[in-house]
Amino acid sequence: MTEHAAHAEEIHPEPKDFFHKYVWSYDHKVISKQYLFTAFFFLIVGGLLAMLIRWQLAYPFQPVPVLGSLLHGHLFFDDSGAITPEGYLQLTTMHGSIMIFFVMIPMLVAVFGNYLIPLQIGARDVAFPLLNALSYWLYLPAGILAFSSFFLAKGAAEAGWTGYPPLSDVSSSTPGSGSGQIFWLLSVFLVGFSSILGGVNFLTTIVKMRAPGMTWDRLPLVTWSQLITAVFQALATPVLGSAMALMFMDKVFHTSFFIPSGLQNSDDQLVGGGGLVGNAGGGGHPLLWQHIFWFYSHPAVYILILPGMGLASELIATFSRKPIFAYKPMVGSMATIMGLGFIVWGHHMFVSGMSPAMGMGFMMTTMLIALPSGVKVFNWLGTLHRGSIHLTVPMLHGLSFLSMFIIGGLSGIFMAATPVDIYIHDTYYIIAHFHYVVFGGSVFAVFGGLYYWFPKMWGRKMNDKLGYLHWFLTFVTFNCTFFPMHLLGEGGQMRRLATSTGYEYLQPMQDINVFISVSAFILGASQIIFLFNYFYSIVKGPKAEANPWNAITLEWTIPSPAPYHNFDKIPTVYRGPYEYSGEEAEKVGRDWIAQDEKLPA
Amino acid sequence: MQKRHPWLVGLGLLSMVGWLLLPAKAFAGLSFGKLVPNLNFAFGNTIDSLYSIIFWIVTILFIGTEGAIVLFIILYRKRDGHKAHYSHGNKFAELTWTLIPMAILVWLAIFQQSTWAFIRADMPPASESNLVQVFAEQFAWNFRYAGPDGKFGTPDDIMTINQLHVQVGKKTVAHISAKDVIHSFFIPYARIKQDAVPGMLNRIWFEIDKIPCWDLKAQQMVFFSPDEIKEKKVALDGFAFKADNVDITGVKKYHYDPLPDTKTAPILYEGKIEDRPIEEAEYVQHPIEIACAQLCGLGHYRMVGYVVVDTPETYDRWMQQAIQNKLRSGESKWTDIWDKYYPQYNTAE
Ligand code: HEM
Ligand SMILES: [Cu+2]
Ligand SMILES: [Cu+2]
Repeated sequence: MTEHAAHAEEIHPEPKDFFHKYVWSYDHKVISKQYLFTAFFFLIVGGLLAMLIRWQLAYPFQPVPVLGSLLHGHLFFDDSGAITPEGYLQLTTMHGSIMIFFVMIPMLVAVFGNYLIPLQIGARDVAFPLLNALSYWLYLPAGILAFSSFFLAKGAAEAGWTGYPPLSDVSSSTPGSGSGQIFWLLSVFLVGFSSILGGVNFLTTIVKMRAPGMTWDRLPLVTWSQLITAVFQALATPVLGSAMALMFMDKVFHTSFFIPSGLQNSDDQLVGGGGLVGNAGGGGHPLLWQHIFWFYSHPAVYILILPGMGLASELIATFSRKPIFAYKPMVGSMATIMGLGFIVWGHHMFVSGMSPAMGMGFMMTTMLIALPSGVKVFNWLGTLHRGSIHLTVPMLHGLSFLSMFIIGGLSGIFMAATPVDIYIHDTYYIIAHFHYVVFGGSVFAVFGGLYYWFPKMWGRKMNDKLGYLHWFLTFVTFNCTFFPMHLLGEGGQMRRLATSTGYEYLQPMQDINVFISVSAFILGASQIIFLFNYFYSIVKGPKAEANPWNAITLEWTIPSPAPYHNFDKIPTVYRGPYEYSGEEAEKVGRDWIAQDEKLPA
Repeated sequence: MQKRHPWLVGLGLLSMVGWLLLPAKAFAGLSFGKLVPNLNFAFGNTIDSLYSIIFWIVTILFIGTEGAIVLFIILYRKRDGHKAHYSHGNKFAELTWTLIPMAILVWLAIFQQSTWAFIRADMPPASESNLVQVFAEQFAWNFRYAGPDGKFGTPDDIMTINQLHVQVGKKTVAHISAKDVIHSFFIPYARIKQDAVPGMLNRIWFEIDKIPCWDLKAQQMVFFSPDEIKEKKVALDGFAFKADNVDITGVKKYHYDPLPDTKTAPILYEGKIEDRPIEEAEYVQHPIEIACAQLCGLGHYRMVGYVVVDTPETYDRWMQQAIQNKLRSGESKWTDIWDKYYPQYNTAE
């Protein structure tokens, strides 16, 4: 008891008042939940935007039911309640930006990283609890900024989540490139800053605060994946910040970092920084942005998948009741992905006008980066092989991650092939690819993780029947929504097009677009089941025991929900995180043995 | 522990298996190159066959891995008396599935370098090609030909908006830039795509080897080789292209109707262009589309241009008419920038 108190002082005392307990909290578990609820909110917003996008693509310029009649003349709608062309660009831009920066990165890194890292390494909190709170309190205003940009006079940003200049840079080039784009720059800058703080914090925590015996080869793969992601965040995100800062200067101080000489607006006037007429500054280059942006954003796509790989590894090992197959190569492949992840960014620019010689180099590195992903897939298969597979709700999500990630990885090979990419670049093929990795991969991993750690987070259990139903509907409609997009890409349908029906050669595929939209509406509606199950179970779910899944890692050795100081006594670790069905487990008469469990002499 | 729900799990498995079969079926009907046939024989077929090579490699991997997942779920399902096999890995298996994929990927990367170089780095010599300047703006495609003196930036240049004329079987080199924002010059039927970037000159080439026409009887697009078209009666004028909306999904019905009060039209037949009674026309010369593939603002979705693929006869006819009429559409809007800020583009090889 005295030791407990001593350690407690070291971190931070348990607050008693509401404000310090739930709002300005230093507790990694509370911060994780703050992130979770905020990300849920943005998931709903981003999801609704997606529904509107799909409505427009299936029924172009037709009045939107319900929302259109409520909001006609406002936001994205014209007076009849139909979506306008510029409204459509706001929808796609903000759907992408919100889902990446405000839903998926926070879900994967901030929610699971925060909750699990200290628990899995046997620590009482992260290394810098104040910094941790600050991360959240930068993320929230960034989110509010992004959300409020919808209500600006000329609406939110319209230049895509990639924000290519001059479209984004010159305010007269499209309505959303005025204050909407400035709001976008500020909010991405802030959320990036929050992400850097998180990365530095997690890095320090994992390196310095592991419990005795928690050697590198005993670290659970979730934590390993967070460590490697944190390196990406700490090294790549500042580059994103610099891109935002440069464009901010272009727009506000009329510099011309991304504006070439001789640029004209639609009235044939010469324009310079920020679209200022007559300020023919010029001398900048639009491709500069693309290089800086992708130098961050390619690593960012791995920020979007590595934690998912970690979560899925945990689920697959636990519910196969087997150690993860080839633990060290699993870690090594993540590290390889990180290394190569910094030198493949040019594959987003094959047709940008970048030198063809560079294209060759980037094709080579991109082909190579598919290898560690492939190795991981085979090792997961190796883990399933001769296991005892429990098809629980979290496991179905883990398996969905695996099977969908395969499809997303394989489509990447087509795009890595430069000659083929000439045709499929900027088509729905790309949309299909990254939804298979980010939705099919990471979103399923996140759902799996939320089901799996729910008992630990809330001390209660979620409803299984609703869980199976939600998984089934999501899995089927996800594939109905995104698989046909490969076909659209093969047919040459461009992305970010308010409607494809103006093109004669795209006409034969409009029926596929309608099919996709209907599937997407069912997919969207199915998520209500999940949200209901999640929130209902927080209040009314049956009480959960400490270790409902018979799992091995340290978080399952403490009561559910996890107590304020995590561990009464800092545990000592004796073995790896996946010792299922081994000799040691047999000695204690189970098929599992906790990481900190001493064997009977 | 968990209660088991056999019917739900069974349903899930069924859907996974069904899922395995679905792509095969979809691909069979709609494979690459069937949706949009390739008309660029110089390298379009190479792109399509590269796609197929990757497709078959990927399909084998897909069926192997997804099949293994389903198989393992069935074989190693949790059941009484079945226990997981304790193992930390297998060096031989690990080496196999690292080295073989590595070999395939490296081979793929090296195998394609020459194709990529042929498409992007080796520009055909000026003597074998027609050169056209492409200048994209919100939301139109501007084209400029050098005219009789063979030089750009002179008073006899020919300019068009949204209409590019190319000669069948002859290479076209396009020098591409943009006025305001980034656009992307995409001709799906020719398998080419190149961003048009302000302040930057990008070069590409392509060749179209079939002539797209509209079959008046079937009311659909058809493609003829230069030999085949000799036997067809193809109207070059005298018809209007119409699109009727079929339903609220934007699906359209296309057709060509004769222009009102038109008795005769210029018709290409056996390599000659003559005015003939309009009823004789079997086909109409029909352009293929140029799409903008880079988000360029609110009119992005309607930034359509057209490529008219000409036989040598129809190309000459068009060029002569353009020279006679001093065709300079949209001139002052963009040539100023091009000639003043980037005069070096006019002499670029
Ligand atoms: C197997 C390895 C992978 C390869 C070879 C690969 C390759 C590529 C290539 C070449 C592109 C650019 C295509 C184009 O724009 O023409 C691309 C785009 C993209 N990839 Fe991947 N990829 C892989 C895995 C992933 C993963 C794991 C993720 C994320 C979780 C991801 C997310 C994305 C995204 C978001 C884009 C599109 C960005 C945009 O233009 O909006 N990819 N990928
Ligand atoms: Cu990338
Ligand atoms: Cu455009």
